[in-house]
Amino acid sequence: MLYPKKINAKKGKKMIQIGIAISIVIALILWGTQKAFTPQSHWAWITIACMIYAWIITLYSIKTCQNIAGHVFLQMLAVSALLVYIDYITGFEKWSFGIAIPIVIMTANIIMLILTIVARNRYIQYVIYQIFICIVSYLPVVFITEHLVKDEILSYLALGASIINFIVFVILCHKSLIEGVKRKLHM
Amino acid sequence: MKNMEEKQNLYWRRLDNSAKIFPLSVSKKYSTVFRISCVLKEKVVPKILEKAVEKALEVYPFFKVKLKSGFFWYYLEENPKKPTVEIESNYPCKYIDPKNNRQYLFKVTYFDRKINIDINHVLTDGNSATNFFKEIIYTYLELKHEKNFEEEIRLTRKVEYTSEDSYLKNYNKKAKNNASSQKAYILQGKNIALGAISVIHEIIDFDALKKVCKEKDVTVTMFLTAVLIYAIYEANYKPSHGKKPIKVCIPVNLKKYFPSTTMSNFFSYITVEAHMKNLDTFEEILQFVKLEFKQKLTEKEIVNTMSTNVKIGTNAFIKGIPLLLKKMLVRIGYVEIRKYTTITFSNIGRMGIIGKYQDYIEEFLFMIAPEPVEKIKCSACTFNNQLVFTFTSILDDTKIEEIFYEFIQQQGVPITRQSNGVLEIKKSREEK
Repeated sequence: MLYPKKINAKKGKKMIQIGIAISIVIALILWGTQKAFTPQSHWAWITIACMIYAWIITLYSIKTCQNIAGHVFLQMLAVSALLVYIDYITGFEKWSFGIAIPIVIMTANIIMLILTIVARNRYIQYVIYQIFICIVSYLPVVFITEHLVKDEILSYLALGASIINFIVFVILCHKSLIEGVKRKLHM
Repeated sequence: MKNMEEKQNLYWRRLDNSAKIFPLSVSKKYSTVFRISCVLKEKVVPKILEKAVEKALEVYPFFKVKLKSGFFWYYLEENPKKPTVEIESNYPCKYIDPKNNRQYLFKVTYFDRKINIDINHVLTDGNSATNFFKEIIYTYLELKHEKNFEEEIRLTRKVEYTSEDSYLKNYNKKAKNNASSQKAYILQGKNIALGAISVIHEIIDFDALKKVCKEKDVTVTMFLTAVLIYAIYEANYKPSHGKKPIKVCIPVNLKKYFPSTTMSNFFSYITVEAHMKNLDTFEEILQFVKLEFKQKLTEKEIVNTMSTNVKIGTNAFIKGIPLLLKKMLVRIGYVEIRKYTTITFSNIGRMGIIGKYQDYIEEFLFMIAPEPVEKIKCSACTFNNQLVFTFTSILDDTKIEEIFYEFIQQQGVPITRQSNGVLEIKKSREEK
């Protein structure tokens, strides 16, 4: 064998199409749940917008071979900080902790989950950012324990997304994880 | 303070005339990277390879550099960091991001029995890169089989080179521009999804190929160029009713024409311009290619092409444009510039490997990065009795590769294929 096993172009395209189809189903479920249980709130639309954002970023970075994880991590921190600031200057009702940040965390974890599955061959360069994202993703727990959150559902969902992301990451990329940590921390 | 002093003492050099354009145009889509691979007869040991790369860099400190930006041009500065050696995980010839590569402009990777070096053209050309890569392979084999190479280890290999810009030394200020003003036929078809690169190696029996070429009174490069034009004509040009000429760009090693020991880029090119209205059969194409080579592969023509390019690089007005502005202008114009070539075919010829080392090597591979305009690029290198002709492609279609393969087979030349699996290659009757 001369080359590492690469996903065949046709298979890769199919996998992306399946992923998009699954996302559409999830979006419909979210929209239905919101309509049935919390019709006064529009959280499902925010989540759907985030899913679209996640797909655009993922497809673009796979195509251009960018270190997407670094960008995701930076955007996750910057957007969260900005949302907290907006929340603060508009009366500090703490929606940034209960709604916005959990959705940002879910989006980041979904992007990393897609990357783990689609681009795990070159995962070594993403490892350190994946670890940072996983660590930051536990912030909703802090928000709950510090009583900064009124409605805890989204915080638990964000926590669930980051746990699933971390488990899949460890299962599929444990070799890259060890190698990446050794390299970055000069161990 | 000490750090500052160390920084000030770092060795630096200017980019050669050819290299000046590469960092201005380089992007994820135009990587300007080429790859040389060596397939060994045994599995690669990464730690030994790492040592071999470090040792080879001591012999060739020329490559121990990083790219820095000046006010008018980029320049190269000594890189004090150690290079990394990684397992191959990406497609070949992809953009080398210096940030993820300790600022180096080359990347050594391995996979199973294969050692690869991906090199940014800013640094050097295929010919000099081959010398550096061979040094890595020699050192690797010496470290791996110390006992078998005791004699070779004792005798240090003589390496003499400079980093001068041989273009400036040899160009003719009065030379006339000989470039054709007509745009080329651009290969039609959809791109492969998600930025993947397909690699198909056509492994050809060199003796049998030489015999066929001798019968037809042409060189191997002429013959392969003609087969390539024929394959493009049959597979892509005819079905899409092409009108513009098929232009094949063939790099030429200038060290064959001028005395130079530089490791920097020192190549030019000739362009075979085939107007398909008058060419229908392979024999007609072959005779045409032969004539084009005869007319264009002369010292006078090559000096003219080289000099035109040097004059652009040394033009006082262009020199005076700030780097940032140069970069913007080149990026806007680069896609248009590329439209004057249909395909590039680079043949680096024989990989001269010293005696005993040959026993450990199975084959060499050479490939260049395809681009959005030149969707397929071709390259060849020869080792022992094997010429490996490689198609690197972003075109979601293998018809050109298949016609090329079938044609060589029809000439009675033994040929086999290997690919990186991105595109499925249809099996021929013999392979089935």
